Amino acid sequence: MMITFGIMFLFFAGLIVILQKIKVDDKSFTNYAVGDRSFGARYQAMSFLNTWYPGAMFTAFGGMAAASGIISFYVLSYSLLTVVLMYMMAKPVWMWGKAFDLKTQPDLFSLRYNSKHIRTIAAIIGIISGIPWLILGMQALGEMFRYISLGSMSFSQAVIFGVIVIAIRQIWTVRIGMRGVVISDFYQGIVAYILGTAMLIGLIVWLVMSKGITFASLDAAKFVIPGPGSQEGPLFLFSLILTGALGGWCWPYIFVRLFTSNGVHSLKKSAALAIPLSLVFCTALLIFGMLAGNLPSVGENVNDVWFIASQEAGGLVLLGLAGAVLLAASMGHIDGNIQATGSQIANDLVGNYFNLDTRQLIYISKIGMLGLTLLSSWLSCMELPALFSLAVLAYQGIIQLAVPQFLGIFWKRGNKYGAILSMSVGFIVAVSLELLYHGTLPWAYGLTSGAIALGLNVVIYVLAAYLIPQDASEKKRVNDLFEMVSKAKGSAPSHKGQVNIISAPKH
Amino acid sequence: MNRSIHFYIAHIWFLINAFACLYPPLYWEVSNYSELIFGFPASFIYFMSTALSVTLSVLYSFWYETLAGEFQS
Repeated sequence: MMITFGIMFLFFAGLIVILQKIKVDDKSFTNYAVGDRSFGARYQAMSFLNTWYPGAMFTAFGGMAAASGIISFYVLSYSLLTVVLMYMMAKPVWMWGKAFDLKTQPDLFSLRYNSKHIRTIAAIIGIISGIPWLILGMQALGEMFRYISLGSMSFSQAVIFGVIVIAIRQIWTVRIGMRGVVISDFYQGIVAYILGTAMLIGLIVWLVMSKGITFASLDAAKFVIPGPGSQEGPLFLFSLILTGALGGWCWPYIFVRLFTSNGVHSLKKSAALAIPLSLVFCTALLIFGMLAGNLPSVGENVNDVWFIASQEAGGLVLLGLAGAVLLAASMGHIDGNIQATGSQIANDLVGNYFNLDTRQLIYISKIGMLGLTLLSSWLSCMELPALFSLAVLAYQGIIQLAVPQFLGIFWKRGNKYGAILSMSVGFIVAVSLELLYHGTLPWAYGLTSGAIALGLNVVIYVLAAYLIPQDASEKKRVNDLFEMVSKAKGSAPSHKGQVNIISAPKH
Repeated sequence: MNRSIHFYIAHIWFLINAFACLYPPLYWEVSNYSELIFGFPASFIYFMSTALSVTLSVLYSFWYETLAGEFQS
């Protein structure tokens, strides 16, 4: 236990040293919320990966690969497609963000649709949907501490310990804001995805060379993708990849990465850096999971496959490193979630209805982060049997932001009526279907509740766009927004005069 | 605005990738093929091919945009 906890302590101490060296700068809320849009491609790439791939990748997806086989590769497909979306959105989103000082995803909704209330609706959906995932992340840490304590901690003791560790980490998230999140993401990302990938490749070699486990030794059922006649339904994979790729950018803590970059070039370069890393890491993890699932010691404990194989291959030292890798991945996700939620509480909820100065915005944001940390820490220590169902339900709900978000960025015609109605109806339909059928819709050919609601969402948005045309001033405003992007060449808005011409909704 | 041929190649490539990743009959067909190819199942080769293609399309797009001076202020 000294060895495993010692390795994790070293990782954590290194992180604290880095965080302590970051200067706290409260000169503007833009600095606190999006790090003054100052980060280059390498920081952006690691920050994206560290928020995108949580620690649950090693447990939930590693376990899924071990238990179910090739279907788990859907996470690879949608994780890469989402980088394509990032590449395509980079220019308009970053330029609008810079020109209008956007700091959150609801800020963008408000700008594009010229509506104050859409900011509140998008923020509420984002915040509520994020909480179950935050609790799951904290509980996953508890599961990890239970394992690496080598049985000396009970599950509830391990969860409390995990919550204390992650709560201590949040002191710096609250103090420093986004700058601390991005810089620590870089360190955590190196541990989670560079060291983690090296470990995964080493474990694959060990499984093949020492244990003689190859694809040929796996059950043929593990290579089957659900098709016609399958229990999951023929459109199951389609649904998972579509909602995964579109839904990724609906999470406020992922979307805000588009505002932290120092330019379009850095953002696109970060996509070019992140995508090969993502390919290698995710492929290695899923191959590892599939092969390690054949270890007799894994048996029914598929979610512990990462720890079981690490301990068996490299003893307590490798088990300690496995813990540090998972902790690094988890921290990036949890920090990002808490930071983005705090910013939204200040900027999009309170700040949407009260005129706040920089100091007040930062203060409310900090209080929001502290409150969220305490609330999720408290809930993590409780028995919540329906938590996973709640998290799935939240995912099906939040992806309904995708329609007004993507169509708003790439299509001029959409309006606020369509945007508000489509995402609200989509959210209600997705949540209702999920509550009614508990994840499996017998008549939907494998489509998930979120995918069905997305279809309805698109129809409402497009119909509203044609039935309620924009008036002349709104049409000109939206045209100016799009022209600003299409005429500009380069990483910064080249005609700043337009910043004053186009009126962004102010709070 | 004049677009270079690379712009169209990259965007068509993105569309082909989306189609290859999402079109159900394609992966149903792949899944039906039960023989291993060079020791790998067809479904694994399908996922890896699409993943590699998506990766290369982003790298290609970034390469041509950099060459074309898209990022110069």
